[in-house]
Amino acid sequence: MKLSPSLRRRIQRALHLDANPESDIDELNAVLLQIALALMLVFMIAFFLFMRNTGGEISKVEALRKEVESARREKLLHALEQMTERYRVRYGLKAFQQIDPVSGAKQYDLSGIVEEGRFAGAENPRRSFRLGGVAACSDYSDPAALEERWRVDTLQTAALREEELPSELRGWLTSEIRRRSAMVREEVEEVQALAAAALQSHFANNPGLVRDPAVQELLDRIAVEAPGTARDLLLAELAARLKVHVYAELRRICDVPMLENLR
Amino acid sequence: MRYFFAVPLVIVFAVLRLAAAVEEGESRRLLDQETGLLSARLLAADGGRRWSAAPFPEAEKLLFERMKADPIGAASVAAARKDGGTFLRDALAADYAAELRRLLEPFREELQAETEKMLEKVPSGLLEKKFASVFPAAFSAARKRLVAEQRAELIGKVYPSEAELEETDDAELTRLLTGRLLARRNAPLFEENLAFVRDTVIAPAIASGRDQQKRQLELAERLPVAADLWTASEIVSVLEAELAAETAKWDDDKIYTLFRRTRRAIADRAARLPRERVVAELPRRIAVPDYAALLAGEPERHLTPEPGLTALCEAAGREAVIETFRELAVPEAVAATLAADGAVGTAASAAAAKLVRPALLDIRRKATAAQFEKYCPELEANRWRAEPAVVEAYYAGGGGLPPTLPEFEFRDAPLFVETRTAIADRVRAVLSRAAGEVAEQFRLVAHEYDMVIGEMRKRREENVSGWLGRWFGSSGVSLAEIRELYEAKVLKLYNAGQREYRELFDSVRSEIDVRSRAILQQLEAEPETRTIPEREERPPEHVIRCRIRVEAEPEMLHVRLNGRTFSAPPGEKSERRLIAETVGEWKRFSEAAASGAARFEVELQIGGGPVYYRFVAHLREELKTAVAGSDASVSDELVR
Repeated sequence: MKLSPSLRRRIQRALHLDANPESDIDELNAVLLQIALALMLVFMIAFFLFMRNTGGEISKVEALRKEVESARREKLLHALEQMTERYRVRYGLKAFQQIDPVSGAKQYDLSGIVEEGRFAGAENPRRSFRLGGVAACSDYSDPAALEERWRVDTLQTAALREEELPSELRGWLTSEIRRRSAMVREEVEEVQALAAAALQSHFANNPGLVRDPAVQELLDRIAVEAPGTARDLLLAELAARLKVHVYAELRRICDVPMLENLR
Repeated sequence: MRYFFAVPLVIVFAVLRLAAAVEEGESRRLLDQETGLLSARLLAADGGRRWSAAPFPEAEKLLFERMKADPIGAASVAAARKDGGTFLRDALAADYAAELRRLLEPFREELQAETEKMLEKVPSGLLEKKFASVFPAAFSAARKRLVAEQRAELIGKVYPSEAELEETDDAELTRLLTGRLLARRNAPLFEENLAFVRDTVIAPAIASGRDQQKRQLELAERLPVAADLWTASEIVSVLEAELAAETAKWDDDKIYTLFRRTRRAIADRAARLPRERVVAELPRRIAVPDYAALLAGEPERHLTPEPGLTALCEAAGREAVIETFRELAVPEAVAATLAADGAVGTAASAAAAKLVRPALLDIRRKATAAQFEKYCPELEANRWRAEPAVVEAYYAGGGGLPPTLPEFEFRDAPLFVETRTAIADRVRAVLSRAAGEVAEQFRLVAHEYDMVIGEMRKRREENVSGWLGRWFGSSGVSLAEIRELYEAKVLKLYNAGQREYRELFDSVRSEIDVRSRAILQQLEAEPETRTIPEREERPPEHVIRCRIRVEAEPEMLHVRLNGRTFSAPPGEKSERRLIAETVGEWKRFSEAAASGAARFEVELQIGGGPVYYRFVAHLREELKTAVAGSDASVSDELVR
């Protein structure tokens, strides 16, 4: 923008530069720039002051919000704990599982459930094993439905509604439900694996009781295979087949579907 | 038993192992552990079953070496069996353990030591089962091999070798083996036992060797050879193998390998066998060419039997050789060698000569007979009769070569030589028979003449007319009547027999005419002055009759005199030689027989067979020449 001569004269007069008719345009620009910077500085100071005040308010609100969320999370955690215990009971794990309250270490004891290749032991443990296995197989055969039941029961237990939860908490809830559901499943599988190990031990002491034709076929193939990778693969296949066999036998003697079969 | 006590222990251990509470995650590890143990047990059980059923080929070798290492302990079969049984059981157990170690190698880290040891211990049931299946045969084979080895060693020290048998005579062998036997002994042999050893040990050993030499040679000649083997090398190797297999079956203490002489005999047989096969097969393969077709198609090319017959025989022989090679499937290289072998060629020629030539000759004979019948049916049917003039000319010629009759000339006809000869022979025969009839007529003429003349001499003093009338049937005679009556008489006597020519021949008639004139002349002369001195009265003389008999066979003429026979085939030269020999013999006979005054009467008797009058005429002429200057007479007479 080009200054008109009249305007330029007025500015010079205001800046007491009009006494010097030799004033250069650059000096004029520099003076104007300094004025602009001074103004800007004022505004900046005002802004920073404002922000400091506002941030303090915001952080207070944020802290408050986090407290609320933390409280909700605590509720949900408590509810999840309750749900976990409830499902442990449902799956009969309480009869066989011991959790160290301090360390949280889990131990399993299925003494007497499978003896001499029979489903033995006291009535209650046997019932727990059977009913728990049936319930677990039924629940875990539809993981989506199971997860939904977990969510509903958890929210109900925590007296919360889904809408009240922020998305982040919802996501956390979903992942936590999945984790706990998988953990309980692992525990059921642990119990059933221990029972299978007991039965497998019986077969190991009485190998003649294994009458699976697939096992005999594998034995025939292993017999003619020279030591090497192929034989090792066949041995691995034999082990896998023997596990399938023992779980099938366990199911037969206990009349309990195995979670292993859902894999 | 230890296994059965171990099982409950393992069960208790397993139960105790699983009785305690397990940490999280341990279940799966336990399951894997038990699964591994089960896998190992299953493999062990399966491996054990297979091991039990599998053979144990080392058993025989192990038992053999054990017994060989301890010959004293193994001397008794029972002790060896007991010791071998224990030894083999241990070996089987070790073998089982090794097999299980191999099978369970992948589980070595999982299995506990005691479990592993238990699995490697062979169950007693399996061990006994395998032992029962392996030991008897292995012990028996090992024992048999060991005993045979020892026996061979014993025999090797007593029996001679093949080279010694072939190169040394029995006496030297006996000395050699006796010395060998004595050298083995620590103590000397008593003198009395020397003979015993020689007779009961050495002699049978040598006899066995000699017998085997002989049997090997017999087998080398007798063993059959497959018909598809032709090269000497193949035959030699097969024969040697078969002979070795046969000798192995012999029940001798020592069986000798093939002697050098046997191998030579095999090589000789292999060299000649292909030739012998071909030569033996040749006669079956030789075929008679279709000579009949050749004779029928091109008779002009086969007018003479040779060289056609020989060429056909040679061709048949060559064809037979080729056919034999083809039928016996002789390889090309061998066939080429055999084809160049003189013996094969000779055999082919001999077979052709024996089988083909007679057949060809027979065919030719039949063709000749057919030609003969075709061209001379009348002659063939024995209906042809020569004209009397021809017969007379033949008779006058002395029965030599038959005249060339135009009706039998067949100048342009392709007649075989044999046909022409048959025609000529048949014509000659017919003419000879006819000539015989001429001769008979002449004889009758002469006989009647002699009768008449003799009667005339006797009744010289009688009424000529009277006895002439009785003889001639008429008292008045003229030449014509005499001739007519003479002819009638002769004809009557002549036709009393079976005749082909019922009429008198002209020459006979001429003779009758001449003799009739002679008779008439006799009649017309004075009885008291009629003296018809045929000969001068001679003082009684010693007459020696010499009979020469001439007979003929189809291919040979025989002249018999003085107890000797001279023979020659028909033919001018041979007949001349025969005549010379006959004349020479007669001269010798006459010189030897003549003592003092003697007159020889040589009588030629024509006997059986086709005796050519040419020959008789020549012989008669030669004899007449020989007796010329003497009073000997030569006459010929047909005697059948």
